[in-house]
Amino acid sequence: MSPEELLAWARGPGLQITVVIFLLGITVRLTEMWLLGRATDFAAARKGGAAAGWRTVFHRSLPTPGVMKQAPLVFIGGYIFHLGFLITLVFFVPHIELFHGLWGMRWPGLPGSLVDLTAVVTIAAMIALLVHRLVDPVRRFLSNSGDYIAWTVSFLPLITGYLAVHRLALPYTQMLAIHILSVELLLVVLPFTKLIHTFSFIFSRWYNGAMAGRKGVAS
Amino acid sequence: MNGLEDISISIVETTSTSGELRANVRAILHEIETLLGKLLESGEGDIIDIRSLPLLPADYEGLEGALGGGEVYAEIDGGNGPTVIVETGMPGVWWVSHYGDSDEIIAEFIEVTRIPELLMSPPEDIDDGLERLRMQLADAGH
Amino acid sequence: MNKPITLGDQLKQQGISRRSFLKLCAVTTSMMALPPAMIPRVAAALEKALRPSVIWLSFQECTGCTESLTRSHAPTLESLIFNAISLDYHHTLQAASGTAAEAAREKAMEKFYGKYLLIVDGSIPTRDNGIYSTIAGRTNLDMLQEAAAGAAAIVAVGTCAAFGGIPYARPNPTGAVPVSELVKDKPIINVSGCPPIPVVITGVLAHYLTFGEIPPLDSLGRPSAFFGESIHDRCYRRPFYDQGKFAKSFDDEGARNGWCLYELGCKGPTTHNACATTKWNGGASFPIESGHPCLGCSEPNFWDAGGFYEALSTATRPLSSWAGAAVAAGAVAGAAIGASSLRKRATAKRAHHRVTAEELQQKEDV
Repeated sequence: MSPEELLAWARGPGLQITVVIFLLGITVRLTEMWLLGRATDFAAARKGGAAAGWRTVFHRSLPTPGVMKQAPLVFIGGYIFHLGFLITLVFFVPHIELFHGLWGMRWPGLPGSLVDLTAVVTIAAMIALLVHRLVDPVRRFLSNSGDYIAWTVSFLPLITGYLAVHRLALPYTQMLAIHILSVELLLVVLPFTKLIHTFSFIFSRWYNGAMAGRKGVAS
Repeated sequence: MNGLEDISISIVETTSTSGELRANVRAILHEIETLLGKLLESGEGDIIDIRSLPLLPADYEGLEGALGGGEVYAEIDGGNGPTVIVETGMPGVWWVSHYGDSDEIIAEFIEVTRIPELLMSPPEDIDDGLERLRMQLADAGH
Repeated sequence: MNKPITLGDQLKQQGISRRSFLKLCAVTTSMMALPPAMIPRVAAALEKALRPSVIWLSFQECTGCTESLTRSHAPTLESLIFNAISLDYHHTLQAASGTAAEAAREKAMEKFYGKYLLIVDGSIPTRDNGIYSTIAGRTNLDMLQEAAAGAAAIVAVGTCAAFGGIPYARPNPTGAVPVSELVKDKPIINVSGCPPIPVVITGVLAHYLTFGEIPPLDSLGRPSAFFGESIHDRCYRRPFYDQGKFAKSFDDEGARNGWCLYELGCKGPTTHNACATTKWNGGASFPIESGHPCLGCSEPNFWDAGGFYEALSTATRPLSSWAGAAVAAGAVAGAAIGASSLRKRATAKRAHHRVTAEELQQKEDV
């Protein structure tokens, strides 16, 4: 397939297939999760459970006290990765155009050089996190293939996007096609790996917060 | 065409102006500087094809302004459109403009040389001219 | 047989001075995008150049390519080409001659077999034996096969001849194909563009006429001298792209300030052509400079590459119905799986056997 044909496929049928698998996968898993529900708690609730749940959803985005001493690299690297990934995804104008085409909404973007800097920092953080995972004996012991797959499919869009914008590695049309395909890979793999936390984190935080609230414990 | 002046557009300079040399112009002037040095040293000239450079109209004017006008103006009319050769304000730097049949510029060069080749009479043309002169003399008075 | 007449001889016969010839060589060198240092080489080559026979076949096209070449603002260049070649057939320009033109073509093809330059514009329909485009009762398919057999090289002028162009776009009712899909055994130069920039056409012809060989080509068979760089990489609006200043709609503030046209669908990043440097209409302007996003007209399938006014990063096929169907199917499947899991749990709970003290006693005794 020529680079032009590959790009046309990635932007056309590739996206259609990806969207189907992605939405199907997420809906199945979240519906399942929700239906399985929770075991009935026969004890009387202490405080309001639901409110505590919602508070936890937001509260857990803040750093836990003591984490800086315990795991500074994962803590800082994790924040940089999540924030950086979101910034490059949401505030780069070509991406905004994609969302505009899908949902009809537009928002202001950042200058290309700023997004570029963010991408570099995010890529560096991801590499640091991977090295830490491989070098630290406890984390290496705990890591399985799912962890490495999740890292790879999250890393590829960042690195291929950077290479495309800077016209490195391969001719632009080819690099752009590979970038779009790497995003499609991420989306297709996401519902079936730990990356589902992108959507299920609300469920789990709410549930844990609500359970803790019923027991009268702030979370 | 009426109405074109009513369309409000603002022309934006993509690089700074006001007395300062534009970046593209500065780059070309640096190249001319090198070529002039080489010309003085070895007597060898060189040619820059202006059409091959990505110049905005402002760059083009900037270059013309930076080089300025000189002492020599020559026009060649060979039957397939005129060619205007001008020595710029920098001696040794010549601006050669080739025109087509309908007043359009079809090629433009900056020649760094003591004299552009087109101003020198080619031996073949001298030969043809000599032939004609001999024939003229032969017809006139043997 | 007479010694074939060279271009140098011919120009001398026309009374053109050596000085004028040198001007022509300088202009031709510039036109071929070659460095001025090559002028002496070009002069030597042009002097010895023979006037090759050129046959121009127009197939399923809009005649824009012929118009681009003949209505260009630099007629001197065109007269150069037409002086340097013997255009033995062009059915549009020779339309008034009728069958005599066809006879001339056949004679030229026979006389210069293996040596003539074949120029093709327009795609070739192949469905139903190619009946959808015929000249003088013969299908284009037929004419191309015959003409290509005796050609030294083929120049496919315009995106239709090079890549299929507009007839090739979905659903391609005539089964249109580019020249390269039908002719496999001859060198083909693809001069794409809809139409190509006139000076690019003449530059490529000039190269062939001067050096007698095809210029270096890129992976799509286009001369790299003119198609080597993308529009984006030479666009004068790049500073705005880099700063994140984009026009959001035609005639808005950004558009009037000359900002980048990416959001309006500019295909500059994936399009290779000389528009940003050589420009159009004698170097006056090019689409982006006039405020319109690049269509990508020199690339294959540009008609089907998403809308002209959709940014390069958008999806080219509708997604909302697929998305809706996927969520609906997911909800159903999720409910089904969830329900089956709940049933399993209930069954396990029912089947759960409470151990009694007696059973434990029995086990101990055993």
